[in-house]
Amino acid sequence: MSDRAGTPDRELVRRFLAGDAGAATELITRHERRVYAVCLRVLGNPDDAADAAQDALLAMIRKLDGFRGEAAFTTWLYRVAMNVCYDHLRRAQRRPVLRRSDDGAAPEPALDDHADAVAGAHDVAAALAQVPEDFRVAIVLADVQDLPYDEIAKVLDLPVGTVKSRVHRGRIALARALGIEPGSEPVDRSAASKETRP
Amino acid sequence: MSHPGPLFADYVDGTLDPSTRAEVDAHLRTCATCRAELALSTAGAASAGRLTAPASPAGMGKAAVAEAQRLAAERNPEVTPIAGRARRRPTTSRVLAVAGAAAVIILLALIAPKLGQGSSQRSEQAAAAGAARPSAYPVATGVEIQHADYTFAALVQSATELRTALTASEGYAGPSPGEQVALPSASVPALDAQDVSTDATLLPKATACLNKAFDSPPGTLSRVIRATYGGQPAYLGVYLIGPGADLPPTLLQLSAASVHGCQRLGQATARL
Repeated sequence: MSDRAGTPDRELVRRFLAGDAGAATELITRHERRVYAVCLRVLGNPDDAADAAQDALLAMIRKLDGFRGEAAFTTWLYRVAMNVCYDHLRRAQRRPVLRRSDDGAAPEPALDDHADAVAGAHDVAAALAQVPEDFRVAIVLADVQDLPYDEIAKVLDLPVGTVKSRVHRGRIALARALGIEPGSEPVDRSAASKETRP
Repeated sequence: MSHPGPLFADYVDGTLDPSTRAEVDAHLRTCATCRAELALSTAGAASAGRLTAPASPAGMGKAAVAEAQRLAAERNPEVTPIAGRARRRPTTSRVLAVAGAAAVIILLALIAPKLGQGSSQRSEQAAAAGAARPSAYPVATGVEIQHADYTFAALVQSATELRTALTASEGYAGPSPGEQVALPSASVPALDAQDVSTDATLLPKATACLNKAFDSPPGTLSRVIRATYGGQPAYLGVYLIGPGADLPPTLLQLSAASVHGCQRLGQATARL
């Protein structure tokens, strides 16, 4: 194991800027999963997420000399990643829809051994894709990545109050997309389909 | 009070101060619209919290690594072979200087995550921590993200195994500062060592949540884990409780709190 494994992010940035490529490799290894996860949840499908995450890691490397260390490295990295995700979302809006409509609930990638191990997580991933973009980004950062609201405010360059409002509205939108009614248990999809599809 | 919508995010997280929370509760008793909104928001938060981080596709970072090598070579021409000119020496000394200056900061983070490390190395690390030493027992420096679901039985088993791991080494005198208390993977379903990442930015929120759920528990918070407990997003705190100073801890407590609402989910204690 290299001596870089336990080295703080900030120090790795410093070493990379001093010419140590291995320090950047450690940063990439350390954070690629986090970057991929946030891209997957924001963009909603594994192919776009892999493209965006690759772009985000490249952007991270190219912008490292602009990391001033005022924020935590992960906050700065989320900011870089979210900008890339927003670019991908904008591009996706411009390009013609190539997917069939039933691809929206495409299964999670097969290599994903541990993700969504908890019952219902697969439905949640599909429902999340239906939540409006700004709200989705807010709940991905708050409830999936567990970032505190003040960190999310720095990532998105928004007032904390706006972040909280988006998180709240996003949570409601997600619950509705899951078919949850106030005071009820989640809708049993198989039962619902019996009613609508004789 | 008018509809307290802006406060609902904090309400669901359990981070409102008690008096504001009481005002919101009073409003909720009279307002069916807000009750419905809050129920949905709570369900949405719990649902989103069930999503875990999937493994990233192999080779995803290759382009970034190649770019890093290109940029590093540009920044550091000394290591690029230049015919007949020995320009490596300044680089070597600079690297050593960096290592020296950063040693104190890095040492705590460098310590391997298993007990039973060389004791001389341990005492050097303790000495390097010197006056900055915050506690006689190791202190959590980040939140470990584990893709595992705990139950009460797993909590009890983990506490027992932690105790065994802590006390197994001969002449045990307690873990040194910065030493991580190893949680045996056998006790954790679906836990894979490569599947764990640590995040320092999450620590304040997780610590506050554990403090709230367990009313500022005694002892030193030595590890914090974000996983699920009975399917619910949860923080697990490993506390070492003892007389402090140079005396070993006497109790180990493993406490689980819900990420949303910071409710007490479970606790297991082992005497060391």
